[in-house]
Amino acid sequence: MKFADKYRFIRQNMKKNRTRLFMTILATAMGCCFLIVLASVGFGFQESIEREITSNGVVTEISVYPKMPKDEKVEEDLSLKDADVRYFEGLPNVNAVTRKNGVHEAILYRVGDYENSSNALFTDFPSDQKSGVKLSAGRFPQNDSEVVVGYHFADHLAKGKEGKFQGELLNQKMTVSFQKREEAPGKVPGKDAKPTELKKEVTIVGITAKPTREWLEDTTVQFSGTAYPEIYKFYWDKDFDGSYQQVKVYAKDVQDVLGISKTIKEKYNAHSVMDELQQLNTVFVMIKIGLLFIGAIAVLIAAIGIFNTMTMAVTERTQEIGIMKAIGAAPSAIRSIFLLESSYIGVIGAAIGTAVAYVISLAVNFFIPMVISSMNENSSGEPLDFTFSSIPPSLVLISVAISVGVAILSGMKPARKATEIDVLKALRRDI
Amino acid sequence: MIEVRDLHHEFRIGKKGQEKIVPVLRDIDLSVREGEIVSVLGRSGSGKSTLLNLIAGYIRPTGGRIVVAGTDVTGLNETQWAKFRLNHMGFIFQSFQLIPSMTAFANIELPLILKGVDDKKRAAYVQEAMAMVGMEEFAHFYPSELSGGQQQRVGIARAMVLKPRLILADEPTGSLDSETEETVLQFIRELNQRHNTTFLIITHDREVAAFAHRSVAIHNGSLVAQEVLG
Repeated sequence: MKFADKYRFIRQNMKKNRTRLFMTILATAMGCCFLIVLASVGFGFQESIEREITSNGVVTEISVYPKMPKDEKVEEDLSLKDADVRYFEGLPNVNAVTRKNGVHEAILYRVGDYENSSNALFTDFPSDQKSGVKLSAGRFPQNDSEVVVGYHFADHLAKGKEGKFQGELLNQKMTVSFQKREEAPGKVPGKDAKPTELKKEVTIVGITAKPTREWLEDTTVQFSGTAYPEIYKFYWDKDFDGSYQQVKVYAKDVQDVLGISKTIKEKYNAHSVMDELQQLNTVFVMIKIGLLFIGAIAVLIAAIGIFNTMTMAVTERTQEIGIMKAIGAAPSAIRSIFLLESSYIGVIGAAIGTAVAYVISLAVNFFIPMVISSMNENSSGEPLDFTFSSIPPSLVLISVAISVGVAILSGMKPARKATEIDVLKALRRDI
Repeated sequence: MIEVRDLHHEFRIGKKGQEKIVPVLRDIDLSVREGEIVSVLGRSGSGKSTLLNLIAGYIRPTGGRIVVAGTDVTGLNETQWAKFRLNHMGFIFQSFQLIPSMTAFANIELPLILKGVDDKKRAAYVQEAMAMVGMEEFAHFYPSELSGGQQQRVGIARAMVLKPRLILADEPTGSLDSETEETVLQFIRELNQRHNTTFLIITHDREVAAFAHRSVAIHNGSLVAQEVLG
C-alpha cells in the first residue's frame, strides 16, 4: 500500500467525525503550546541573564591570574611577567594579550587651573589596540609623555569649587603629580630623604570609549607601560621586576575562548565570561529540563485524548478493517494507517500549538514589561531590557518531537488492536 | 488449484480448563482443478463455511494440509496470508461486505490500492471490472444507494479486479432473489469462461450447486458425495 493512498484513507476517515477530531487536535495543540510557552520562560531568562553578563565584559576576554603558591612557606615568584605574556601570545587562536599595571594612590592632575585626582594605569597600548579597544576620541599614545584619559575625566576636572572644565581636552598639556603618602609602604619615617612628589608633563592624546554600563565612571588616566618602572621606583623604592598586575588574553573568536581558557588553567588561574556562561548554562539546562518535564505532562494529558479517539476509531471501523483484512490487507498496512492517523493529529496539533505559542510569547514580551514599568513608580520610564519568553528553534524541535512522539505512542495500542481484529467476527457483525 | 488432504478442524467452546471440543470437519479430501467451478453443498451447521474459511486462511486448521496454487498455505503467517490472498484469491460474500463509506468505485479499487498498483492504472482496471458486471453508471454510488443485486455485482467486480486465479464465494446469492441470483451466476460463468478463473462456491441452495461443473456435499463435517454435473 502506498503512502499517498494511506494518507487519502486517513483523510477520508477523519471526515467522518469532525468534532471529535477537532477536539483531539485542540487538546494536542494546547498541550504542545503549554509545553513551549512554559519552557520559553526558561530560555527567555537565560537569554536575558546572558545578555547581562556579556554586556559587562567582552566575550573573547580571558583574565589571567597567577596560581596561588602551593606551599606558603616557600617563596616562589608566581607573578605574571613578559615570559608568561609571550607564552600566552604563542597559544593558538590568541588575538592579543593586554597587560596593565596600576597605581591606586591619589594622583593629582592639573590642566591649566583645573584639577582632578584619580588613579593611573600603565598600559601596553599596542596590545590594547590589537585586542580591539576603541577610543571615543583622539589616538593611542606613542611615547611616555602622551596619555589617554577616561571618558568621564573631564567631568571631574574642576577649578576649586567654581566650575567644571569646559572645552576640548585633546592635545591639552597636563601636569601629573605623583604623591607618596605618609603610610606608603617602603617609606622609612624620619629618615626619608627622597622627594615625596614626582611631577610629569604629559599631553592628552586620546579619550577612552564610553563604559558599557550607565553607572560606570571612567576617570582613569592611562600612561604608556614603558613609563611604569620610574613610577614604581618612586613609590616602592626598588627596581621594577617586570611583573604585571592585570593580564588579559583575547581569543580570535568566541568559540576559541573555552579552549584557550582550559590550556591556560593548566598553569595559571583564568576566568572568562564564557566560563561564567558555561556554569550558567548547566544551571539553565536543568531548569529547562524541569520546565519541559512539567510541560510534557500537558502533552501526556492530550495523549489520553488521542488514545481515546483512536480506540473509538478502531472500534467504529471494525467491519471496514475486517473487510480489508479479508481481501488481503497486511497487518502492517492496517497498523500504519492508524499510526499515520495518530501522528497526523500530533503534527497538526503541534503545528497549531507552536503558532499559538509564538503569539503568546510575543504578547508576554510586549505586555509584561509595560505592566511592570507602570507598576513601578520609580522607574525611569525606560523600557525594561528583559526577555520573559524566548522560543529558539531548538525548543520548537524538542516540543514538536515530544508532541508527535507522544501522539504516535498513544496511537500504538489502538493500531495493534486494529491488526488483531478477527476477520470472521468483523464480517459477521452486519449479518 | 486446490488440494485439501486429511483436513480436520475442531472448535473449543467454554472457559479455559473446562473447554469442550466440538469437531467441525473430519478427514476432508478435496481437489479442485484450475478453471473448474466447484460447489460445496450443505445445510447450516454442516461445516461448509468452515471449509471455506480454512481455505481462505481466516482460521487455521487443527490438522491436515491445504495447498492452493501450488503453495502449502497451512504454515503461512498473517502477513504471508495477506500477500497470498492479494496475489491469488478473490472473495465474494453473502452479505457483499462492501465498505459503506466508500463509493462502488472505491470499493472495487480497494484490492488494487492494497497491492500498491499505480494510481493511473487503477482507474482503467476498475472501469474494466465495472463494465464486466454492467455497473459503470453506478461508480459514484454508495453501497446504501444500491440494490442487493447491484451490491453483489460490485462485490464480484472487487473480487475479479486483480484477475485472481481462484475466487472463493460464500453463499454468493444467499441474499438475492431468484432473478438476481441468475444474473450473478451468469457473471460467475462468464468470468470462468473468459479468464479461466477457478471458483469454489459454498451454498445451501441445490439450484446454485447444480450450476457448478462439479458439486460436493458436506454433512456433519464430512464430505459425503461428489457429483459431476457437466
